[in-house]
Amino acid sequence: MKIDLEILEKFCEDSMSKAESEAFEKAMQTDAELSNEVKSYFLSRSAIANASNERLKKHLDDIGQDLDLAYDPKTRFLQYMLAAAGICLLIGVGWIMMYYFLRPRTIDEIFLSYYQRPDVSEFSERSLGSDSSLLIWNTALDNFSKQEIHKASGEFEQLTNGQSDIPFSKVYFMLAICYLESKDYEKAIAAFDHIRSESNFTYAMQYYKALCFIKMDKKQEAIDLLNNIKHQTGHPYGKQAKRLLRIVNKMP
Amino acid sequence: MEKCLEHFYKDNIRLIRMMGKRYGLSRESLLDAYSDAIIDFKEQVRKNQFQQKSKCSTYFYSIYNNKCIDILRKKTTYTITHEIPENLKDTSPDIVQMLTFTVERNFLDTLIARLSSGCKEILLDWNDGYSMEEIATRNNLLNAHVARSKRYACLQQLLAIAGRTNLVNDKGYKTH
Repeated sequence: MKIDLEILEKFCEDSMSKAESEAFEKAMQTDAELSNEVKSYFLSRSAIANASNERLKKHLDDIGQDLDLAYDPKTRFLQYMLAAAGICLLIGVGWIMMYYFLRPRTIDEIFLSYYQRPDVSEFSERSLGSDSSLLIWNTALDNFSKQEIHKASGEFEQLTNGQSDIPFSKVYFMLAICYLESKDYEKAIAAFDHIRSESNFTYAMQYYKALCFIKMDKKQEAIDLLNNIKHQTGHPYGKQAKRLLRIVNKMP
Repeated sequence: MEKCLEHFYKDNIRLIRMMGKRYGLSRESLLDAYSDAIIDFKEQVRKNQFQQKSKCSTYFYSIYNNKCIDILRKKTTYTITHEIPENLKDTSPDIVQMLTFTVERNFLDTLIARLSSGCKEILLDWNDGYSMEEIATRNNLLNAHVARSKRYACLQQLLAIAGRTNLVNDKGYKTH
Protein backbone atom coordinates (compact mmCIF):
# COMPACT_ATOMS: atom_id res chain seq x y z
CA MET A 1 0.00 0.00 0.00
CA LYS A 2 1.45 3.27 -1.14
CA ILE A 3 -0.97 5.62 0.60
CA ASP A 4 -0.44 6.48 4.21
CA LEU A 5 -3.45 5.14 6.11
CA GLU A 6 -3.47 8.12 8.45
CA ILE A 7 -3.90 10.51 5.52
CA LEU A 8 -6.58 8.29 4.03
CA GLU A 9 -8.46 8.21 7.34
CA LYS A 10 -8.16 11.95 7.72
CA PHE A 11 -9.70 12.48 4.28
CA CYS A 12 -12.44 9.90 4.66
CA GLU A 13 -13.39 11.03 8.18
CA ASP A 14 -13.59 14.61 6.90
CA SER A 15 -10.93 15.94 9.26
CA MET A 16 -8.66 17.54 6.65
CA SER A 17 -8.43 21.29 6.12
CA LYS A 18 -10.20 22.62 3.04
CA ALA A 19 -6.96 23.11 1.15
CA GLU A 20 -5.69 19.63 2.01
CA SER A 21 -8.98 18.11 1.04
CA GLU A 22 -9.04 19.90 -2.32
CA ALA A 23 -5.48 18.79 -3.06
CA PHE A 24 -6.38 15.20 -2.16
CA GLU A 25 -9.44 15.23 -4.43
CA LYS A 26 -7.34 16.63 -7.27
CA ALA A 27 -4.82 13.83 -6.78
CA MET A 28 -7.65 11.26 -6.84
CA GLN A 29 -8.73 12.45 -10.29
CA THR A 30 -5.36 11.60 -11.77
CA ASP A 31 -4.34 8.66 -9.58
CA ALA A 32 -6.68 5.68 -10.08
CA GLU A 33 -4.94 3.70 -7.35
CA LEU A 34 -5.58 6.43 -4.81
CA SER A 35 -9.18 6.58 -5.90
CA ASN A 36 -9.53 2.84 -5.39
CA GLU A 37 -7.92 3.10 -1.94
CA VAL A 38 -10.55 5.63 -0.91
CA LYS A 39 -13.32 3.37 -2.20
CA SER A 40 -11.77 0.43 -0.35
CA TYR A 41 -11.69 2.50 2.82
CA PHE A 42 -15.39 3.35 2.62
CA LEU A 43 -16.18 -0.25 1.79
CA SER A 44 -14.16 -1.45 4.78
CA ARG A 45 -15.94 1.01 7.08
CA SER A 46 -19.30 -0.22 5.79
CA ALA A 47 -18.21 -3.81 6.43
CA ILE A 48 -17.12 -2.93 9.97
CA ALA A 49 -20.35 -1.03 10.70
CA ASN A 50 -22.39 -3.90 9.31
CA ALA A 51 -20.53 -6.46 11.41
CA SER A 52 -20.81 -4.22 14.44
CA ASN A 53 -24.59 -4.04 14.02
CA GLU A 54 -24.76 -7.81 13.65
CA ARG A 55 -22.76 -8.26 16.84
CA LEU A 56 -25.05 -5.83 18.64
CA LYS A 57 -28.15 -7.57 17.33
CA LYS A 58 -26.84 -10.91 18.54
CA HIS A 59 -26.12 -9.42 21.95
CA LEU A 60 -29.60 -7.88 22.17
CA ASP A 61 -31.23 -11.10 20.98
CA ASP A 62 -29.37 -12.96 23.73
CA ILE A 63 -30.79 -10.54 26.29
CA GLY A 64 -34.22 -11.03 24.72
CA GLN A 65 -34.04 -14.80 25.22
CA ASP A 66 -34.00 -14.33 28.97
CA LEU A 67 -36.81 -11.82 29.02
CA ASP A 68 -40.09 -12.69 30.56
CA LEU A 69 -42.61 -10.95 28.37
CA ALA A 70 -45.60 -12.28 30.24
CA TYR A 71 -47.19 -9.93 32.73
CA ASP A 72 -45.81 -10.21 36.20
CA PRO A 73 -48.71 -11.51 38.33
CA LYS A 74 -47.61 -9.21 41.15
CA THR A 75 -47.73 -6.20 38.84
CA ARG A 76 -51.09 -7.30 37.50
CA PHE A 77 -52.44 -7.73 41.03
CA LEU A 78 -51.14 -4.29 41.95
CA GLN A 79 -52.78 -2.84 38.84
CA TYR A 80 -56.11 -4.42 39.78
CA MET A 81 -55.77 -3.13 43.32
CA LEU A 82 -54.99 0.37 42.07
CA ALA A 83 -57.95 0.27 39.70
CA ALA A 84 -60.23 -0.92 42.51
CA ALA A 85 -58.92 1.79 44.84
CA GLY A 86 -59.52 4.39 42.11
CA ILE A 87 -63.09 3.22 41.60
CA CYS A 88 -63.75 3.26 45.36
CA LEU A 89 -62.34 6.76 45.59
CA LEU A 90 -64.54 7.94 42.71
CA ILE A 91 -67.63 6.41 44.30
CA GLY A 92 -66.76 8.01 47.65
CA VAL A 93 -66.16 11.45 46.19
CA GLY A 94 -69.30 11.10 44.06
CA TRP A 95 -71.39 10.15 47.07
CA ILE A 96 -70.11 13.10 49.10
CA MET A 97 -70.82 15.44 46.21
CA MET A 98 -74.31 13.98 45.79
CA TYR A 99 -74.94 14.40 49.51
CA TYR A 100 -73.92 18.03 49.57
CA PHE A 101 -75.24 19.24 46.25
CA LEU A 102 -78.33 17.20 45.60
CA ARG A 103 -79.85 16.80 49.05
CA PRO A 104 -82.94 18.96 49.71
CA ARG A 105 -82.04 22.06 51.63
CA THR A 106 -83.95 23.47 54.57
CA ILE A 107 -85.84 26.72 54.19
CA ASP A 108 -83.41 28.50 56.51
CA GLU A 109 -80.44 27.30 54.45
CA ILE A 110 -82.05 28.55 51.24
CA PHE A 111 -82.84 31.89 52.78
CA LEU A 112 -79.32 32.33 54.16
CA SER A 113 -77.81 31.45 50.78
CA TYR A 114 -80.00 33.77 48.75
CA TYR A 115 -80.83 36.68 51.02
CA GLN A 116 -78.50 39.57 50.46
CA ARG A 117 -78.93 42.66 52.62
CA PRO A 118 -79.61 45.71 50.44
CA ASP A 119 -76.76 48.19 50.37
CA VAL A 120 -78.26 51.29 51.97
CA SER A 121 -75.16 53.47 51.74
CA GLU A 122 -76.58 55.21 48.66
CA PHE A 123 -80.05 55.62 50.17
CA SER A 124 -79.19 58.55 52.45
CA GLU A 125 -80.87 61.85 51.50
CA ARG A 126 -79.16 65.22 51.84
CA SER A 127 -81.38 68.11 50.87
CA LEU A 128 -84.86 66.82 50.53
CA GLY A 129 -88.13 68.19 51.96
CA SER A 130 -88.69 69.02 55.57
CA ASP A 131 -85.76 68.69 57.87
CA SER A 132 -87.63 66.40 60.26
CA SER A 133 -88.47 63.69 57.70
CA LEU A 134 -84.92 63.87 56.36
CA LEU A 135 -83.58 63.45 59.86
CA ILE A 136 -85.86 60.48 60.57
CA TRP A 137 -84.90 58.80 57.26
CA ASN A 138 -81.19 59.12 57.84
CA THR A 139 -81.51 57.96 61.46
CA ALA A 140 -83.55 54.96 60.32
CA LEU A 141 -80.93 54.04 57.75
CA ASP A 142 -78.26 54.42 60.38
CA ASN A 143 -80.14 52.12 62.76
CA PHE A 144 -80.70 49.61 59.95
CA SER A 145 -76.99 49.57 59.28
CA LYS A 146 -76.34 48.98 62.98
CA GLN A 147 -78.75 46.03 62.91
CA GLU A 148 -81.17 47.84 65.21
CA ILE A 149 -84.06 46.65 63.12
CA HIS A 150 -86.96 47.42 65.48
CA LYS A 151 -85.89 51.02 65.94
CA ALA A 152 -85.37 51.38 62.20
CA SER A 153 -88.76 49.89 61.31
CA GLY A 154 -90.50 52.27 63.77
CA GLU A 155 -88.78 55.20 62.13
CA PHE A 156 -89.61 54.01 58.61
CA GLU A 157 -93.25 53.56 59.71
CA GLN A 158 -93.33 57.22 60.78
CA LEU A 159 -92.45 58.20 57.23
CA THR A 160 -95.36 56.28 55.72
CA ASN A 161 -97.97 58.79 56.85
CA GLY A 162 -97.86 60.48 53.44
CA GLN A 163 -96.40 63.77 54.65
CA SER A 164 -92.78 62.85 54.01
CA ASP A 165 -90.90 63.95 50.93
CA ILE A 166 -88.85 60.76 50.86
CA PRO A 167 -90.01 58.68 47.87
CA PHE A 168 -92.93 56.56 48.97
CA SER A 169 -91.73 53.31 47.38
CA LYS A 170 -88.26 53.73 48.87
CA VAL A 171 -89.71 54.06 52.39
CA TYR A 172 -91.95 51.01 51.96
CA PHE A 173 -89.10 48.98 50.50
CA MET A 174 -86.90 49.65 53.52
CA LEU A 175 -89.80 49.08 55.89
CA ALA A 176 -90.51 45.72 54.20
CA ILE A 177 -86.85 44.72 54.49
CA CYS A 178 -86.96 45.55 58.21
CA TYR A 179 -90.05 43.36 58.65
CA LEU A 180 -88.36 40.64 56.64
CA GLU A 181 -85.28 40.75 58.88
CA SER A 182 -87.45 40.71 62.00
CA LYS A 183 -89.23 37.65 60.56
CA ASP A 184 -92.60 39.35 60.24
CA TYR A 185 -93.22 38.09 56.71
CA GLU A 186 -96.95 38.95 56.47
CA LYS A 187 -96.21 42.58 57.25
CA ALA A 188 -93.21 42.50 54.91
CA ILE A 189 -95.39 41.33 52.02
CA ALA A 190 -97.99 43.96 52.82
CA ALA A 191 -95.27 46.63 52.81
CA PHE A 192 -93.82 45.30 49.52
CA ASP A 193 -97.33 45.56 47.99
CA HIS A 194 -97.32 49.31 48.62
CA ILE A 195 -94.39 49.79 46.23
CA ARG A 196 -95.54 51.33 42.98
CA SER A 197 -95.05 49.20 39.86
CA GLU A 198 -93.20 52.00 38.03
CA SER A 199 -90.73 52.39 40.91
CA ASN A 200 -87.05 51.47 40.69
CA PHE A 201 -87.62 49.10 43.60
CA THR A 202 -90.02 46.84 41.74
CA TYR A 203 -87.35 44.36 40.66
CA ALA A 204 -85.82 44.04 44.13
CA MET A 205 -89.28 43.93 45.69
CA GLN A 206 -90.24 40.91 43.56
CA TYR A 207 -87.13 39.00 44.57
CA TYR A 208 -87.37 39.75 48.30
CA LYS A 209 -91.09 39.01 48.25
CA ALA A 210 -90.32 35.59 46.76
CA LEU A 211 -87.89 35.03 49.65
CA CYS A 212 -90.71 35.94 52.07
CA PHE A 213 -92.96 33.32 50.45
CA ILE A 214 -90.19 30.74 50.80
CA LYS A 215 -89.80 31.57 54.47
CA MET A 216 -93.58 31.31 54.94
CA ASP A 217 -93.42 27.90 53.20
CA LYS A 218 -95.75 29.16 50.48
CA LYS A 219 -94.05 27.17 47.76
CA GLN A 220 -96.52 27.79 44.94
CA GLU A 221 -96.57 31.59 45.43
CA ALA A 222 -92.77 31.63 45.52
CA ILE A 223 -92.56 29.55 42.32
CA ASP A 224 -95.04 31.80 40.51
CA LEU A 225 -93.14 34.92 41.48
CA LEU A 226 -89.74 33.43 40.63
CA ASN A 227 -91.07 32.28 37.25
CA ASN A 228 -92.31 35.79 36.65
CA ILE A 229 -88.81 37.17 37.42
CA LYS A 230 -87.18 34.50 35.26
CA HIS A 231 -89.27 35.39 32.22
CA GLN A 232 -88.61 39.11 32.42
CA THR A 233 -85.73 39.88 30.11
CA GLY A 234 -82.94 41.86 31.73
CA HIS A 235 -84.31 41.43 35.25
CA PRO A 236 -81.38 42.16 37.60
CA TYR A 237 -82.36 39.20 39.80
CA GLY A 238 -82.99 36.84 36.86
CA LYS A 239 -80.01 34.54 37.48
CA GLN A 240 -80.65 34.22 41.22
CA ALA A 241 -84.31 33.55 40.51
CA LYS A 242 -83.43 30.74 38.10
CA ARG A 243 -81.16 29.03 40.64
CA LEU A 244 -83.62 29.59 43.46
CA LEU A 245 -86.42 28.17 41.35
CA ARG A 246 -84.48 24.92 40.85
CA ILE A 247 -84.02 24.57 44.60
CA VAL A 248 -87.58 25.51 45.49
CA ASN A 249 -88.92 22.98 42.98
CA LYS A 250 -87.05 20.23 44.87
CA MET A 251 -88.53 21.32 48.20
CA PRO A 252 -90.99 18.79 49.63
CA MET B 1 -22.57 2.61 23.73
CA GLU B 2 -23.33 -1.09 24.10
CA LYS B 3 -24.26 -0.67 27.78
CA CYS B 4 -26.37 2.33 26.92
CA LEU B 5 -28.28 0.42 24.22
CA GLU B 6 -28.64 -2.54 26.54
CA HIS B 7 -30.22 -0.27 29.12
CA PHE B 8 -32.45 1.27 26.45
CA TYR B 9 -33.44 -2.23 25.34
CA LYS B 10 -34.51 -3.25 28.84
CA ASP B 11 -36.12 0.08 29.57
CA ASN B 12 -38.62 -0.14 26.71
CA ILE B 13 -39.70 -3.76 27.04
CA ARG B 14 -43.30 -2.67 27.63
CA LEU B 15 -43.35 -1.78 23.92
CA ILE B 16 -42.86 -5.46 23.04
CA ARG B 17 -45.90 -6.35 25.11
CA MET B 18 -47.84 -3.47 23.59
CA MET B 19 -47.03 -4.51 20.01
CA GLY B 20 -47.72 -8.12 20.87
CA LYS B 21 -51.19 -7.17 22.01
CA ARG B 22 -51.78 -4.87 19.07
CA TYR B 23 -50.55 -7.03 16.20
CA GLY B 24 -50.63 -10.52 17.68
CA LEU B 25 -47.10 -11.34 16.50
CA SER B 26 -45.06 -14.24 17.87
CA ARG B 27 -42.48 -13.71 20.61
CA GLU B 28 -39.62 -14.38 18.14
CA SER B 29 -40.93 -11.88 15.59
CA LEU B 30 -41.47 -9.25 18.27
CA LEU B 31 -37.96 -9.65 19.70
CA ASP B 32 -36.38 -9.73 16.24
CA ALA B 33 -38.17 -6.54 15.22
CA TYR B 34 -37.29 -4.97 18.56
CA SER B 35 -33.53 -5.51 18.24
CA ASP B 36 -33.67 -4.40 14.58
CA ALA B 37 -35.47 -1.26 15.68
CA ILE B 38 -32.80 -0.52 18.30
CA ILE B 39 -30.06 -0.88 15.70
CA ASP B 40 -31.94 1.34 13.24
CA PHE B 41 -32.47 3.87 16.00
CA LYS B 42 -28.75 3.82 16.87
CA GLU B 43 -27.82 4.32 13.22
CA GLN B 44 -30.26 7.19 12.80
CA VAL B 45 -28.91 8.92 15.89
CA ARG B 46 -25.40 8.38 14.59
CA LYS B 47 -26.25 9.86 11.20
CA ASN B 48 -28.01 12.80 12.87
CA GLN B 49 -31.31 11.80 11.33
CA PHE B 50 -32.97 12.02 14.72
CA GLN B 51 -33.43 15.76 14.98
CA GLN B 52 -35.05 15.73 18.44
CA LYS B 53 -38.29 17.10 17.08
CA SER B 54 -40.06 14.42 19.06
CA LYS B 55 -39.28 12.60 22.28
CA CYS B 56 -36.64 9.89 22.00
CA SER B 57 -39.13 7.24 23.13
CA THR B 58 -41.75 8.44 20.63
CA TYR B 59 -39.23 8.30 17.82
CA PHE B 60 -38.15 4.81 18.80
CA TYR B 61 -41.78 3.74 19.12
CA SER B 62 -42.46 4.78 15.51
CA ILE B 63 -39.44 2.80 14.27
CA TYR B 64 -40.49 -0.30 16.19
CA ASN B 65 -44.10 0.10 15.10
CA ASN B 66 -43.01 0.23 11.44
CA LYS B 67 -40.87 -2.88 11.90
CA CYS B 68 -43.86 -4.75 13.33
CA ILE B 69 -46.09 -3.52 10.51
CA ASP B 70 -43.50 -4.80 8.01
CA ILE B 71 -43.62 -8.26 9.60
CA LEU B 72 -47.40 -8.19 9.75
CA ARG B 73 -47.63 -7.15 6.11
CA LYS B 74 -45.35 -9.99 5.05
CA LYS B 75 -47.45 -12.44 7.04
CA THR B 76 -50.79 -11.22 5.70
CA THR B 77 -49.86 -10.74 2.03
CA TYR B 78 -51.94 -13.70 0.91
CA THR B 79 -54.98 -13.02 3.03
CA ILE B 80 -55.66 -9.33 2.52
CA THR B 81 -58.59 -8.89 0.15
CA HIS B 82 -59.88 -5.51 1.27
CA GLU B 83 -58.19 -2.12 0.95
CA ILE B 84 -55.01 -1.85 3.02
CA PRO B 85 -55.19 0.80 5.75
CA GLU B 86 -52.95 3.83 5.26
CA ASN B 87 -50.59 2.90 8.11
CA LEU B 88 -50.08 -0.59 6.71
CA LYS B 89 -49.38 0.43 3.14
CA ASP B 90 -46.13 -0.76 1.66
CA THR B 91 -43.38 1.80 2.08
CA SER B 92 -40.53 -0.67 2.46
CA PRO B 93 -37.99 -1.41 -0.32
CA ASP B 94 -39.25 -3.52 -3.23
CA ILE B 95 -37.98 -7.06 -3.97
CA VAL B 96 -35.11 -5.90 -6.21
CA GLN B 97 -33.93 -3.44 -3.58
CA MET B 98 -34.24 -6.11 -0.91
CA LEU B 99 -32.19 -8.56 -2.94
CA THR B 100 -29.55 -5.95 -3.67
CA PHE B 101 -29.45 -5.09 0.00
CA THR B 102 -29.07 -8.74 1.00
CA VAL B 103 -26.31 -9.30 -1.54
CA GLU B 104 -24.52 -6.17 -0.31
CA ARG B 105 -24.73 -7.37 3.27
CA ASN B 106 -23.47 -10.81 2.37
CA PHE B 107 -20.59 -9.25 0.51
CA LEU B 108 -19.68 -7.05 3.48
CA ASP B 109 -19.90 -10.13 5.71
CA THR B 110 -17.42 -12.01 3.51
CA LEU B 111 -14.95 -9.14 3.76
CA ILE B 112 -15.02 -9.16 7.56
CA ALA B 113 -14.98 -12.95 7.66
CA ARG B 114 -11.57 -12.96 6.01
CA LEU B 115 -10.09 -11.01 8.90
CA SER B 116 -8.49 -12.82 11.80
CA SER B 117 -10.79 -13.12 14.83
CA GLY B 118 -8.73 -10.75 16.99
CA CYS B 119 -8.68 -8.09 14.29
CA LYS B 120 -12.43 -8.27 13.80
CA GLU B 121 -13.17 -7.63 17.48
CA ILE B 122 -10.71 -4.73 17.65
CA LEU B 123 -12.20 -3.04 14.60
CA LEU B 124 -15.74 -3.58 15.83
CA ASP B 125 -14.86 -2.12 19.25
CA TRP B 126 -13.25 0.86 17.54
CA ASN B 127 -16.38 1.32 15.42
CA ASP B 128 -18.53 1.17 18.56
CA GLY B 129 -16.63 4.10 20.03
CA TYR B 130 -14.60 2.35 22.71
CA SER B 131 -11.45 4.18 23.78
CA MET B 132 -8.06 2.62 23.12
CA GLU B 133 -7.73 1.75 26.83
CA GLU B 134 -11.07 -0.04 26.73
CA ILE B 135 -10.15 -1.84 23.51
CA ALA B 136 -6.93 -3.01 25.16
CA THR B 137 -8.80 -4.32 28.19
CA ARG B 138 -11.56 -5.98 26.18
CA ASN B 139 -9.07 -7.72 23.85
CA ASN B 140 -6.40 -8.64 26.40
CA LEU B 141 -3.80 -6.31 24.91
CA LEU B 142 -0.96 -4.85 26.89
CA ASN B 143 -1.98 -1.22 26.75
CA ALA B 144 -3.65 1.51 24.68
CA HIS B 145 -0.55 2.00 22.58
CA VAL B 146 -0.58 -1.66 21.53
CA ALA B 147 -4.31 -1.41 20.85
CA ARG B 148 -3.74 1.62 18.62
CA SER B 149 -1.02 -0.16 16.59
CA LYS B 150 -3.15 -3.28 16.34
CA ARG B 151 -6.17 -1.32 15.18
CA TYR B 152 -4.02 0.35 12.53
CA ALA B 153 -2.62 -2.98 11.34
CA CYS B 154 -6.08 -4.57 11.27
CA LEU B 155 -7.55 -1.75 9.25
CA GLN B 156 -4.69 -2.05 6.78
CA GLN B 157 -5.38 -5.77 6.59
CA LEU B 158 -9.03 -5.12 5.79
CA LEU B 159 -8.16 -2.52 3.16
CA ALA B 160 -5.79 -5.00 1.60
CA ILE B 161 -8.52 -7.66 1.52
CA ALA B 162 -10.88 -5.21 -0.14
CA GLY B 163 -8.20 -4.24 -2.65
CA ARG B 164 -7.01 -7.81 -3.29
CA THR B 165 -10.48 -9.12 -4.05
CA ASN B 166 -10.51 -6.63 -6.89
CA LEU B 167 -14.15 -5.98 -6.17
CA VAL B 168 -14.01 -2.25 -6.20
CA ASN B 169 -15.57 -0.64 -9.22
CA ASP B 170 -17.16 2.74 -9.93
CA LYS B 171 -20.02 2.03 -7.56
CA GLY B 172 -17.71 1.04 -4.79
CA TYR B 173 -17.73 -2.76 -5.27
CA LYS B 174 -18.92 -5.58 -7.47
CA THR B 175 -20.92 -8.52 -6.25
CA HIS B 176 -19.73 -11.42 -8.36
